[in-house]
Amino acid sequence: MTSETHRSVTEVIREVSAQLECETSLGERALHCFEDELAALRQAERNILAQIHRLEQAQLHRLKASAEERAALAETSRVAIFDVLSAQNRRLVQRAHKEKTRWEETISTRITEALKEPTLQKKWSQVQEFKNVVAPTLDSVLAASKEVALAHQTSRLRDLRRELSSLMHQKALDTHSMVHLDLILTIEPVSENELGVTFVLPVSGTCLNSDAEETLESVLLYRVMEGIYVYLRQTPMKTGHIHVGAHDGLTVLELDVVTEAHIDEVTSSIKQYVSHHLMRVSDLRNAGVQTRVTVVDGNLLFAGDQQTEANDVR
Amino acid sequence: MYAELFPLTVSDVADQLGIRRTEVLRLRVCCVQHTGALHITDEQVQEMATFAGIFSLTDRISEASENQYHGSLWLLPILQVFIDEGWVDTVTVRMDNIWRGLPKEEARILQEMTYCLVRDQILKIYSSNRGKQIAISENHLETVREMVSGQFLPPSISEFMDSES
Repeated sequence: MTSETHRSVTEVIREVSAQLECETSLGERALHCFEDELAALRQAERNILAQIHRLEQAQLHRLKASAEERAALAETSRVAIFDVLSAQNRRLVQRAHKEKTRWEETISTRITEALKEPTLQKKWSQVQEFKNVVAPTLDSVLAASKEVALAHQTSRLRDLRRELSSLMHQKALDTHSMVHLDLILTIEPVSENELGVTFVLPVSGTCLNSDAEETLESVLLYRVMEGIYVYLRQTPMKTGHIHVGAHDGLTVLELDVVTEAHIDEVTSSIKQYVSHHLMRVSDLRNAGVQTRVTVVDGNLLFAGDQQTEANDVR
Repeated sequence: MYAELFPLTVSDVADQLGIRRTEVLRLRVCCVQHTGALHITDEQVQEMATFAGIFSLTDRISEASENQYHGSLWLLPILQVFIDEGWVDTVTVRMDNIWRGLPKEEARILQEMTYCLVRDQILKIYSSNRGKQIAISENHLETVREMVSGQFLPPSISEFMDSES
């Protein structure tokens, strides 16, 4: 207290000012430190964001490339599968041609033999006579009489066909080498309880056209469809509508199955039913045709935007 | 030489019954339950036709009437048969019987008109193992009566007829 008496106010103010200056300077330095720290962090943030952006771009690029690779792989596999099936189709067409000739010759010979039996011979003569002599004159008779005459001819033909029917089922076993065919099956979920079933067959896409002849190709298609209908019969659906279409020149069958069962179970059942049905029927076997149902991932068969052409045209 | 004596094929039967070949196969499995040789007997054809209720409605109308109908003019006589036969609600008839046996163009017209009435919910479609079935919707029997008596024509039908003319 005594010493204070020797100091002037000016000195005290100077001291306080010096102290204040010192503290201000310390505060400023601390603030600078914060700013420096913040600036460094902001820079680091910018660097990280730039890094994230670069990574995102790279990821996007990779995803796009993967999608393209998958599409290319799908296209490659689709082309490869369709090439194999088309080659199998060519062999089937050749076999169908041979089979048709053989079948017609065999049956004609059998019919010729059977018609030597007097009763059948008489009926056949009546059919021929009607066709060659009576039919050309029918336009001049009354419509009712014409109808009766035609009905009679139809009935005679039915009788003859019935009597000859036992000959038609006994086809000689084939001696040709076997033609092995793949029936491609793919099953994909459509909705929660619905599965889309697709078969691609080594059968020409025009085989069901109204002007197409019925050959071994159609027999194969018919038998696969029957197999699917037999499968459906034991499901709660009981039956269903199979869409017949074409893709790259081959026949594609499509069907929606409403089911609670797991996709693997349905796949296995359809494969089993169709395979069993094809093995059981004699017409393909007798013609030297052997089939196998091959289950393929849908992504390997059709890209998302690909659809069958002329769906359900017949 | 013996073509007529050869067994009936799937396409022969399809032509004979006026249905698609795929439908013949479906019926073979559903009705005849026969999946042996693909040679179909006349008896099996008859069995399939009976099971699936296949016949031609327009033939039935032509036999019973002296009037000649054509194209869209078939619609009202056909609906009259629906009323007469009581094909209402769950009592149904096979849908393609409506246009079976008609020339392609007439069949198309009747098919389109049928679908107009289905969209209007005047007719109702059912799926069955006998094939696609159709009947008058229970609550539209009066509408169909009005149509047959010429008091009412659904706008969808008149629009369709306008677009065809």
